[in-house]
Formats: sequence, structure tokens, C-alpha cells
Amino acid sequence: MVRHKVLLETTVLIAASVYAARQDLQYYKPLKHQFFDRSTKLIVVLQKHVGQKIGITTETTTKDAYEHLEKAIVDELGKQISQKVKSVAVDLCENRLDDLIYVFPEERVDLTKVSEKFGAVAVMYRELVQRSFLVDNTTATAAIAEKLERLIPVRQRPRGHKILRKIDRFRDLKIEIGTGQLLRAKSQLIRLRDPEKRPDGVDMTTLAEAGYLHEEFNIKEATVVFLASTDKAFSPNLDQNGDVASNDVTAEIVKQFSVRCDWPERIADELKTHYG
Amino acid sequence: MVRDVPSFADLIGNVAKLEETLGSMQVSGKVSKKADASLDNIISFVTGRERMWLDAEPTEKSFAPYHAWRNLRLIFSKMRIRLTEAPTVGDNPIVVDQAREVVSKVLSVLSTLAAIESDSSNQNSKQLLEGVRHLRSVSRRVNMTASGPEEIKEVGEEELAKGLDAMLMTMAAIGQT
Repeated sequence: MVRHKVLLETTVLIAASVYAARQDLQYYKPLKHQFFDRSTKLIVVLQKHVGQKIGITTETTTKDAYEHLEKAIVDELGKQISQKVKSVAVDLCENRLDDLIYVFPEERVDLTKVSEKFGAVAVMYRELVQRSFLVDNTTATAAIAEKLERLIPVRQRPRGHKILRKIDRFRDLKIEIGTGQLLRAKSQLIRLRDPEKRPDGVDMTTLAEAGYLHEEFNIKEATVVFLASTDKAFSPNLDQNGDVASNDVTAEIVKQFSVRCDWPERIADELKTHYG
Repeated sequence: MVRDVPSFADLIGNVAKLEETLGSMQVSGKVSKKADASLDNIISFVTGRERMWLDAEPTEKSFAPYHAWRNLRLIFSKMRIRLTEAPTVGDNPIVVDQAREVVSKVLSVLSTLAAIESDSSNQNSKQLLEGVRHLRSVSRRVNMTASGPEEIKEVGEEELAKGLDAMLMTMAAIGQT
């Protein structure tokens, strides 16, 4: 039987902790939002099967989660919220984070091996960034036009005929639609053009650790390793129905590191099919 | 009569005295009132510092010291209550072992606080927050700090809820992009 391990990335840990802290308050109903339902759904499934030790963290993800949590509370709440409220908020959210880390303990990693993987992760993202600049409106239009040309070759058709003019207009429309579809299908890759949306050092270390853990777990037994993340530098872009719309980066991660990055609720659904 | 304002050295002295008293309680296996005076002095000093930082201009840099002093007050106050109640609730002598474990972690937080207060350009906020986190984690494990509901009582629940909601909305917005 194949085992499963889910490394909880910083974004998931923080979302689940803050949401849980908010739910502890009696003041009105807790805010409902798909973003938090996602993380909570996975945490519930992992807690249900805690004996199987599916959910894991690493020192990198937990330390980063604490630091980002404190920074988010201090920076995001602004001056209109008193220091006292911020301090209580930090304590309550960190209590919840402590509880999560207690349930999903940190896996030890070999720093030398992780550092080797980190190099490979950095190279992969550098190449993906380079590739992202090759996909733009012009290249996408050219690609679609070339594809259509193979179906309806312009040169083989006599000019000026009424029906053919309609076909040409149809062809232009088809190119426009096809270009849009192609750009949407490449949106996860294109997103990497923005330097702010590229993974930082901690993100890349997390992925390197996930890759390392995949190798370690599979020495003993066949194990699928997921990286649960709401960061689109890892997890695929989804459409409104929750289906994958773009996954070039995610697919490259699977190819190079055998790590399946995905949104927490999608991992929860998959785990349910195996563990109930 | 002018009362001397206690200094950081007084605080460290009181913490050292508390540690010594707890040590002697541990040897005798009995909780006594000997630690009360040291704890009262510590709580008084820490509360004063907490107020001082609360009244300061709320900046990113002033948050860490305020958060540290506030948590020290919560921890020492809980310690005081637990030591007082120990003989009646059967917490004797485990509470002494737990108090010593907590006090051993306090000194590193105090030394970072002393560095920050003596040098306003000090950039140790991150280190201080990490120290507080570690101290709280140990204190919480041995029930030596305020519980969640006790902390909520310290502030208006409405303001806290609104603050967390604002943060959740920001996180959700970032998560959608």
C-alpha cells in the first residue's frame, strides 16, 4: 500500500491558526471565506487520521509561520488597532499554531542534502522564469495562427470569395479566442514574470525539504509526498469550478522532485478516497 | 519621602532571588510564602514597563518590547497565583519545578529587553519576539501563563474580532492573486 505524507506550508499553517483563533471568539459569527475553508478542510482530515502521521511540518515551515504571523499582525492591523489588541492577537494565534505543530510534528532533515536540493530548486525556477518571458501575446497568437494554418491553409484558397472572407473572419476570431485560452493555460508560468510572485529563499527551502523527504520516505516504503500550499508558485491555478486551469510550474516540480504541490482542499479530497 | 525608581538591576536581582527561593522550596519539597515578596516586586516592575511601552508611540519597533513586558506580567502573575494556591489545590511541589523551568527561560528575554531599552537603535525585535515565543511555549505547557479566555478578557472582544477579521480578509485577498 502506498503511504501519503502532507508537508504543511507556511500559508496553510497561518490561515488555519488565525481562522481557528477567530472562531474562538463569541463576537458575531466567524468570517466565512473559501480561502480559510480550504486549509481547515485539510487540517480536519489530517487530525482525523493523526495516528497515521500523514500531516508533517519542518523547522523551516514552522519558524517561517511564526515570523510571518507576527509580522502580519503588527503590519496589517495598522495603527487603528491598539498594541494591546495586537499582542493578544499574536498570543491567541500562536497558541493555535503551537497546537497544530504539536499534532503535526517537525520532521528532521539533513541540511547538507536539503542544500543540494535547494540548488536544483533555484535552477528550476530560474529556467521557469526564463520560459515565462517566452510566452506573451505575440508568441501565443503566432502559435495559434500556425495551428490554424495547418487546418485551413490560406495560400491554398482563392482570394475574394464571399464564403472564404467569412472563413477568414472566423479564423481571426478563432486566433483571438485561442490566444486567450493559451495565455490562461500558461497563467501559472506567466505569473513568475512578476518578481514579487516568485518564491523566496524560505519557499525554495521548503520545496527542497519536501523533495528530500520524498527520497527519505521512499527508501523505506512507497510514499506520495504532497506540499499543501495556497501559494501559486507551487500549487496550480484553478478555475471557478476548482479544476486545474494552469499547472506548468506544478508539473515541473513533480517531474524534477516527485513532490505534488496542491491546494489543501484538493489534497483533503484525495486523502479521503484513500483513508475515508 | 521619595521612593527610588526600581532599575533593571533590581529586576534581575529579584528574579535571581526568586530562583534561589524556588530552589530552596524544591529541596524542602514544600511551597511557602517566601517567594511572594520577590514576585510582587517583579510584577510591579514589569507592569510599569508594560504601561510605559503601551503609552509610547505605537510603531513596529515598540511592539516587541510591549509584547514582551505584557507576557512577562501574565506569566509572573500566573506563577504568583499558582504558588499561592498550591497548598490548597494539591499543586505542591510540582508547581515549584514548573516555576523554575519558566524562570530559567526568562533571563534571555530580559537581557534582550535590556539591550533594546538601553539603545534605541537596537534592532533586536526579531530576536525578542522569538524569545517571547519560546518563553510562552514553555509557560503554556506547564500552565504558567494566561489561558486564551483570560487573555480575551484583557481587551474588548469586538476590537479583537475586528482586528482578526481585517487580517483574514487581507490574507484571503493575497491568497486569491
